[in-house]
Amino acid sequence: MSSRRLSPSWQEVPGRPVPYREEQSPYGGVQGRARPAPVSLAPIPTHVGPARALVSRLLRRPAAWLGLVVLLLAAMGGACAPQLAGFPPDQIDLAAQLQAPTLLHPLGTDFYGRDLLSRLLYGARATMAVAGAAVALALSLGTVIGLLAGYSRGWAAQAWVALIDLWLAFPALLLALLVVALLGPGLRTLAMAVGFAGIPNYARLVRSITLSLRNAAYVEAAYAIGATTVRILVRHLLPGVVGPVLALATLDMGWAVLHVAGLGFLGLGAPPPQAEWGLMLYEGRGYLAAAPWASVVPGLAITLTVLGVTLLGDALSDILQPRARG
Amino acid sequence: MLTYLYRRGVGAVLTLWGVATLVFALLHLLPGDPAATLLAQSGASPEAIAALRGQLGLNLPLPVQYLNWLFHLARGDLGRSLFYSQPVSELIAANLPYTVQLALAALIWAALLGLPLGVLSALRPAGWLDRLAMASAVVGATVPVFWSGLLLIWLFSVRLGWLPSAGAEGWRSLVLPSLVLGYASAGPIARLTRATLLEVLSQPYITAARAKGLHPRQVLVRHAARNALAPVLALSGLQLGFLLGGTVVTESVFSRPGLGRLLVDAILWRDLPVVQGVALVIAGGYVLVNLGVDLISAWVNPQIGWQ
Repeated sequence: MSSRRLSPSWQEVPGRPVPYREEQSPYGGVQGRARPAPVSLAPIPTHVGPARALVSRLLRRPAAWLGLVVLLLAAMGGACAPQLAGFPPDQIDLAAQLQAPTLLHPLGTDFYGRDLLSRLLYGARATMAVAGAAVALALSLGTVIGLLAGYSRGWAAQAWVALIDLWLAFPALLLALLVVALLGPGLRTLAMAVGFAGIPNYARLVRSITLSLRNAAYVEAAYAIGATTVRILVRHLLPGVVGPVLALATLDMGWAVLHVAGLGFLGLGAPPPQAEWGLMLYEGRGYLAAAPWASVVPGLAITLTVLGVTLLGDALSDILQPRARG
Repeated sequence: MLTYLYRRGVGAVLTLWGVATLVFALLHLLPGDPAATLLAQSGASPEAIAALRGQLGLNLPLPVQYLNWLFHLARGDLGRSLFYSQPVSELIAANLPYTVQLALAALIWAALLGLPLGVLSALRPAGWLDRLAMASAVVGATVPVFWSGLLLIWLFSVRLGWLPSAGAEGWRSLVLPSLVLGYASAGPIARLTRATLLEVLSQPYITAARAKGLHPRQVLVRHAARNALAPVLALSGLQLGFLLGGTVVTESVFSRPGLGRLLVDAILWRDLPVVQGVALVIAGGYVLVNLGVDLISAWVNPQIGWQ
């Protein structure tokens, strides 16, 4: 199949004048006062285009490239941790306590003489996996709740809205803390806590899109020919929601990493022998004067990962919801 | 206007009730037994544990516990801490000032950093300052508070010895925590200031003000700033809510007393009444701050509100 047929009508087509192109910028925004209104001849996309078109548009942005590279590095580091790490992540060597970086330990060692590079690699695994699970949980439950809230009518709709508002009335970290208090610390709890705190954001987004799509002619047509509610929700409303939800999920990955590591730093995340970035910071902070690298290394890893995800997510939001940015 | 106040007030009370219910519901599904946890270390007999359960009212059916809790709550009684053997309300009263102090100081930092940067960026869009400011806004949203805090402690306390790394005595101990927390929310303020100011500056009445020969400073201060400020004000209020949550981590980094420390310790020790009380106060504060922000925005800009 040719790429022309793959790409929908809103793709830039050679020969057609490009009405407006955004300037590249490291933070994904558009610069300049004289920003022309995006007077596009083509309709604005409301759904994810074919993956190829999306990727090619994404790769035109240096910021997205940078984000993608950082993210891939973190993911590969985590995936290949057993091959890349020189030591088991929990191998205690009291003769090598708090060593500065050396050839043997490129990032130094912590209080128990554990190799920080190895712990960092295995930590990427734990942190990214937990954050990914949290986002998956928030995304799936939030989408379901949002669809139901947007499609229901009458008192049910009001009840859903009240629930979402109540959920949003809590600071996210507080919600996550309450779930940890409820279930006790642990990796699984961590994912559930952060995911639980993230649900209302998706619910609100999906609800607002569903509300705007609900009265579209094609949905009414589906209703008129007797489609069931489930079919309307899944076949007709869900596809319209996927793009924005995907963009939010990418940005949310950074948010989730921050919260997973934050709970770890509070001592309420992963239990101690585990290699997890937040926990590494928690353990390193006690020896800030003697071994600053034990605090610098995991913090830098967290920051770079979140930065990468943010750059990628910003670019994705730009592409998937061109109107949503102000 | 009175109708608006009334409706918002009723809404806020309902939300507070919902918040209280949600906190109660979440924590009473706890699988652990606080009485047993509390007395386990002292090797207490089963009779002593049962007695404590009775004393805490944990034997009563859940709906009764819930109603009891609501009634006590309405009187400002949050129960007694299992760990400190002190009323929860006293613990909160002792710790609240530190947290409010930190959140307000952080908001001042955020405004001091965010507003000028946003304005300067909007005046010269795509200039070097704009690029720098917006890049640092992204960094501010990216760097975790618990890491930037450690880095600043390392630099200013360990290496230079200028500022204390912990505690809450005097203004010097407030500088680093509030700066760390404020920097995190300076970014959104700078971005929004820039965006709204850019939009306002492109409007015809600004062109008219310029055309009649006003000094650029006058155009900015007397014409543009007033309209640009309302959304920024609203965002600052929302940021205050975010800052209330952010204090939890910041207080841990800097070993400061405060609600966040109280909450984290209470979770570690399974001190149920304290967890409930602190969560309620933080979430309630968040709701009230948002209400206040809405009212102020409606008052500043009549176009938004009163409906």
